[in-house]
Amino acid sequence: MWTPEITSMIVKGIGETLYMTLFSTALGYLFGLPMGVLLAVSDKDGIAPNAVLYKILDVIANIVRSIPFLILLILIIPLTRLLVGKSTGSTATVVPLVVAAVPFIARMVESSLKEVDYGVIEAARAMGAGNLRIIIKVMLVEARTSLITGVTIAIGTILGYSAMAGTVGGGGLGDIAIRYGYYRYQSDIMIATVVLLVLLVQLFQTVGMFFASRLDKRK
Amino acid sequence: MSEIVLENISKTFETKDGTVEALKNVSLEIDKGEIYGVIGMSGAGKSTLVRCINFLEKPDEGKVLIEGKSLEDYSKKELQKQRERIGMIFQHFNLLMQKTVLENVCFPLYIQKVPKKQARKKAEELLELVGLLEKKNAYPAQLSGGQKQRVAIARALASDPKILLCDEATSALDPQTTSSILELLKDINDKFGITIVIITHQMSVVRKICDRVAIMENGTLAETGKVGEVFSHPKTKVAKRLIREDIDTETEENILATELIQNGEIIRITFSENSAFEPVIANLVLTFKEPVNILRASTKNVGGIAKGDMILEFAKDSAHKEEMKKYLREHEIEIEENVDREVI
Repeated sequence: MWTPEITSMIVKGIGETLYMTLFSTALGYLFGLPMGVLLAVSDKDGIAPNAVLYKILDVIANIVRSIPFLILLILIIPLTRLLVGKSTGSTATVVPLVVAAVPFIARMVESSLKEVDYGVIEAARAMGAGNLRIIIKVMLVEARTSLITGVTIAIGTILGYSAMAGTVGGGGLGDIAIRYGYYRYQSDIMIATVVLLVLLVQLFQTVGMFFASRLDKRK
Repeated sequence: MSEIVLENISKTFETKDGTVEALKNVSLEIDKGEIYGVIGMSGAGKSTLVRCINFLEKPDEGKVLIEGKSLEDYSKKELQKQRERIGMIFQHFNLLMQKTVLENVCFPLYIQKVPKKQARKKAEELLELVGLLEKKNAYPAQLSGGQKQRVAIARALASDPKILLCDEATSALDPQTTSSILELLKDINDKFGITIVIITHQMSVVRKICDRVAIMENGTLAETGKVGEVFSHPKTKVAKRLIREDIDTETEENILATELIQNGEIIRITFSENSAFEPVIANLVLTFKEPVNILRASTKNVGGIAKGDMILEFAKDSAHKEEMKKYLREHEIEIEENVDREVI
């Protein structure tokens, strides 16, 4: 029963999963990084406190993060149709993945940036640095290790979400696991996909941690 | 004209525990090229005071004038430009931990958009000045505290400041390292004529390098003046207290004698139980009509018996030195002659 077709289907599944995960992570950071920076900066202990801005971003992040991903997936189908033209397949799945990832990433960026020693920021300010320079040249640089660890966590989480999207025809390894393992009782295929998912998470985790510690100059 | 003028500065902070008046109507003038110390216990408001000089803290009331111009009148951009001319170093060094020593020193130059090559050249010169050129590719985590502060000093000097603010810059360092950092600051002051403002809680720092000092207590200036005058005639309680603490620590460091007394012979005398009752030293001086200097006095426990221990210095050209020693021996006092100044 393990046919070449199944092998090629699984290979295609790996490709789709990687595509969804990495593309969503990249887009997630495109929006999540600035949002996280704004959260860290506008907080009352930040470098440019702004209670209104912080509250707005805070509420948005909390609302999106409190909706279970599966519900979110269905909830934003109209948006997905609008952007992609359809609601199934890997590309369509990227939309809810990004929507779910942005506030999650923003929160991680926020907490990474808040770890930066205030003294270093103060020193930069004393040297005549403006806020933008402090963010780019001090906060993002000093928080580098923590930010990379965050990317690793984000990839793992988004990979998990992408598998969940399989339940509604999202493509990728999760889709295969649901269709074959759950609907057709072919548990060998399901186990194979689960093992592959585990391996992928392990791979990203190892690579991420390697870079995080390699680029950490504090020790 | 004074380089830095603070006019009736007040600053209040809102904290969880209520309102804190960090500065209350403080006025201060600091002259060009001098080393000015601001000393006080923790919480006296001295860190807030120094942050007002570069507007890291904006005073609620009062004016800060740098070279006669009020910082308040500057736009945000102009203020940033002004800050480039005011270097600052900190207790915890505040270096970029993810950047090399060289890149740390280049940092203020990058902010000013100085080309990379030029910035590096300048940074290397400054690292040479602070004696750390061979560490240029190291990261701060690989350096000792004193080395980190040297890097911070090089960084503060990178933009050719007119003023250098030091916020408890030696408080995290041991006494030897403190001395070497203070020497470096003194050198910089001599060489470049930079006005240096030193915030500290250690009187020894003020004594070693400051020209003038302001003593702070509870957000106000208790006393200001030339360091020598404040030391010899402290007027306020807080000044007396800080000076006494300093002398206590100095005695431990055994440096006192070298600074206060001129070169007579130094002896150590030890009182036995019997002689301690008699005012031997007073009688000695009265008998020979010649002063002796008491450098230190303490009691020590010798074999369970309390013994008085005193370090005396004779006048440099003492006429009665030998007779005085004889007098002391006759009064059952043990004498150790020619004590080395360094080991007191």
